[in-house]
Amino acid sequence: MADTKDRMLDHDADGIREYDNAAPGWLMWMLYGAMIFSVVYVAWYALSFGDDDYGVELSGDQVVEKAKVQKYMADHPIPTPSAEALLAGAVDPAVLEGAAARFAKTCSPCHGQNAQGLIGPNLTDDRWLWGGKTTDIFSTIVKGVPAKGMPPWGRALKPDEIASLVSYIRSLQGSNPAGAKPPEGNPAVPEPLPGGKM
Amino acid sequence: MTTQMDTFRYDDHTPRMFFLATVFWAVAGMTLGVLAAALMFLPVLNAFPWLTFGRIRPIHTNAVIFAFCGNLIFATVYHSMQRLLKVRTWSMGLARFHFWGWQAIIIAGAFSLLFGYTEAKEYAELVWPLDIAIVVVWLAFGANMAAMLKQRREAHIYAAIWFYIASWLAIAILHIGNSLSVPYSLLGSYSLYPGAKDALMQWWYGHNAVAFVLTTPFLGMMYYYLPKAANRPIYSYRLSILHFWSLVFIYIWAGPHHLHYTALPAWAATLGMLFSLMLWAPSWGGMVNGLFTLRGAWDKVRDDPVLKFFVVGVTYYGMATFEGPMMAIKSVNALSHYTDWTIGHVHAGTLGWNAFIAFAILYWVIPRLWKTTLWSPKLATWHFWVGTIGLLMYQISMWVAGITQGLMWRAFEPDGRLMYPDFIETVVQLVPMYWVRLGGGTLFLGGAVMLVVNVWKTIRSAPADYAVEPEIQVPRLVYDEEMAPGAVTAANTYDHLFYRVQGALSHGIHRALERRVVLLTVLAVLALSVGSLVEIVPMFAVEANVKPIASVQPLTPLELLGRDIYLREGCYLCHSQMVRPFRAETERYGEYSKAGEFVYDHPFQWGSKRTGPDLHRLGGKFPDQWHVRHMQDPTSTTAGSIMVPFPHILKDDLDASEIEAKMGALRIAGVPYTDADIEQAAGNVTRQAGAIAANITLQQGPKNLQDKEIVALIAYLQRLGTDIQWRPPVDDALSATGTK
Repeated sequence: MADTKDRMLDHDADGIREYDNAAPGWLMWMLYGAMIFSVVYVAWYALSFGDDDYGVELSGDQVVEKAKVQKYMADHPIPTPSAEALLAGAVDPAVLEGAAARFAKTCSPCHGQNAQGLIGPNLTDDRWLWGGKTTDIFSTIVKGVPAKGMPPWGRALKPDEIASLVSYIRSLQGSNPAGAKPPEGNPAVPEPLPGGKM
Repeated sequence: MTTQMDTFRYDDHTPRMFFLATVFWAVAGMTLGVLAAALMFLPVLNAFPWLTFGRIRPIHTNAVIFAFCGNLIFATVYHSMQRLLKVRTWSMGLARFHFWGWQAIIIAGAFSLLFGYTEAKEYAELVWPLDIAIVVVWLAFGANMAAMLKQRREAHIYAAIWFYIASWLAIAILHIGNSLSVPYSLLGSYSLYPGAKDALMQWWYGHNAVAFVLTTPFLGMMYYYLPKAANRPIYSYRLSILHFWSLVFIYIWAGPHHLHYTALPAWAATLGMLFSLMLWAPSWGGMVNGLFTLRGAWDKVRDDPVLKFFVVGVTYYGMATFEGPMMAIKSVNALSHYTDWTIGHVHAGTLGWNAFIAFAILYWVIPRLWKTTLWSPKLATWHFWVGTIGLLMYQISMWVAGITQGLMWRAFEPDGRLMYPDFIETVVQLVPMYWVRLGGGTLFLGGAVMLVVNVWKTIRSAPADYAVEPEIQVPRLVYDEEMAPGAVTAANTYDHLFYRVQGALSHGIHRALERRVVLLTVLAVLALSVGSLVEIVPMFAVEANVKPIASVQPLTPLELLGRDIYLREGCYLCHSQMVRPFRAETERYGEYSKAGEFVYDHPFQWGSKRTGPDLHRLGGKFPDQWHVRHMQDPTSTTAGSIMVPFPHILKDDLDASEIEAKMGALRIAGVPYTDADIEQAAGNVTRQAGAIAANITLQQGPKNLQDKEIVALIAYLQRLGTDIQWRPPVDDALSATGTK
């Protein structure tokens, strides 16, 4: 650059000399650019978010994403598992093994290590608050019981994982674990397992 | 007229003491860093209540920032100011008080943090008596600086000293501004500011601790030691003026970029973002002036370890000051915030810039102060390469970890479920990177140990009379003559306008200003004040910035005691309490956080890092007994958890003896506890503790926990985020998955 010829100033600070070079033009333009951007941004910002609220941004995002999800769900409906499939899982060791690990991780904090009931109800007896058929249990897990503190697990767990949990819970029927919570809800006769097992 | 000559000697004793302290605290602080890096992801190492990540991490940050970098600042200011002003240290007594006072504060600070006494605000954790001690020592330092400026034998003050003055002023303002608190005991106090206001004050302080402890003093050092070591003139005097004033003016605004998408009003965060972007060019002004000064000295870089450290240090300054503004952009920050990327960014600055500049200066100055030569330039070169490799390992591992985790947090399945709904899935993914970081940090520490060996051997080779300083003769400053307005000394041959404007400003106005220290100081205070006032005043004065929520109530006495345990254990260092208004966060945690929910939080606990999940909507998510098991052994409820276990909290008795004093202090800070609340506090503690203990027993947990710390902590955790009504959202599309 023409104007960056080194011209020595007559300053001397403990032997340190200084050149009189100009600040590089590209550096100055970085500064001016940032300033211009800031002014434009403030103008745009002031015009586009009236009440300066992140909530507006979020709800806009939620509307867009919800529409996308609804379209996806319409195109890819998840088949509701049949009672037969859920009951078949309850005697399938491969299904039960995975479900036991998921139960320990996700369900046991509220329903107890052995489903005996802690803060949530006992899942091993024949009383049910929200329906005792396997398909009812599936629905309860998916939708949760928000009023009672049970989250809608359909938002976090995959449908086949929920199905395997239902099978697992069915397999625990009548297991009579130690420290079981007293029964709550209405009696329901467990649906019979395939092969006449109980 | 004959010039009258003054004869005096430099005081090299004070710089020598501070430089040695710098070396000592460098190794101590980096050792703590390596320890913290291991404690963070290896729970088994957190074996004692005082040996946990939450206690060690603040000691590490305080040690490297205020002990290592602090001592280096004092060393270089005493060393270079004497030479640039041609004066001796004004008061050796004050300098001695400054030195020992500072070391005493560091040691007292380390032990108080180790035993859990903390104000729980990042980089401002020290208890209130130490905060006051810092002010006293700082004034001693300032008095020495001011007196040296007054007695100077140079008319003009050089660029390095502008930076020193601005740093001294800014740190004084920031430290006092952020540390105001209401004491409730000899070592305990609560921040004067509530919630969102405390957050603004904290990051106004926190970001400018980076600016005025880790940046401007080091730029001052660069202006003195880099041209000295390279034996080259400074590239551009004009640039030094430009980037000094723009840094001082702009930096102070940038703090709110630490609070993007939090409950801080968006206008403040927007100012933080824009001023961060404007900060990029002035920061690079420093890098340009440093690197261009080395033009013509590149051959020396090959042989001289001092210049090697300078080149990489200044380049890393440029890297970090590009990365910083980029991360301050809201959309980038939405990804990077709360992840390890931030940690990587900070260490690019501290290891790459601060530590490397420190090493360069130490290798240059130690032989000179002990009148000898460096014991082994070869070992110093090894230090350079080992340090550089360690630095790169640190940075790259944290980039990978941060971006990986940020992307995992926000990943959705096409059916609208989070792809990684269990937070722990995003943690176990990072463990290999934590090993790489530990390795990188260990290499960097290894380099520092090489420095210790080299310094030790160099000092051993000093002549017996190294401490005898030679006499200096300089002309006495004659004010009338030297104080005349400046003139451009050479004919101006560059005629374009831009250059002439710069020339008029620097040679006309600024050159004159450099002789008027008081005026320069006043202008620096003004430059620092504008951004501070524009952000802080509306935040406190305009109620709309923190919209009140009627249902939000102060904590119960037991919850307050639990919160104190949360502060003591440094939970905020790994957990945020701030759900951002993003779909990925409201899905994972619940309703996003509102400023009105934090009006009784002294100090605020929004956090800055999520090694574990956000906790703001934790209340009611898990039964009490879950928390008991989780505190005793986190892996019992969360397989693969790297959280520090806190079994002692189940055994230690709850100390409720100070509850009345604590509530009284909070009342002074603005929490509306009534006289009756305070009178009945002890009884309330017993009642609520009994209820929680009974509940734990009912949930088949341990019996008789009502006198233990765990019940207070559970009371607090179960209260979090429950003052407003919020429900997990029910999505129609997903409900269709069910059978009905």
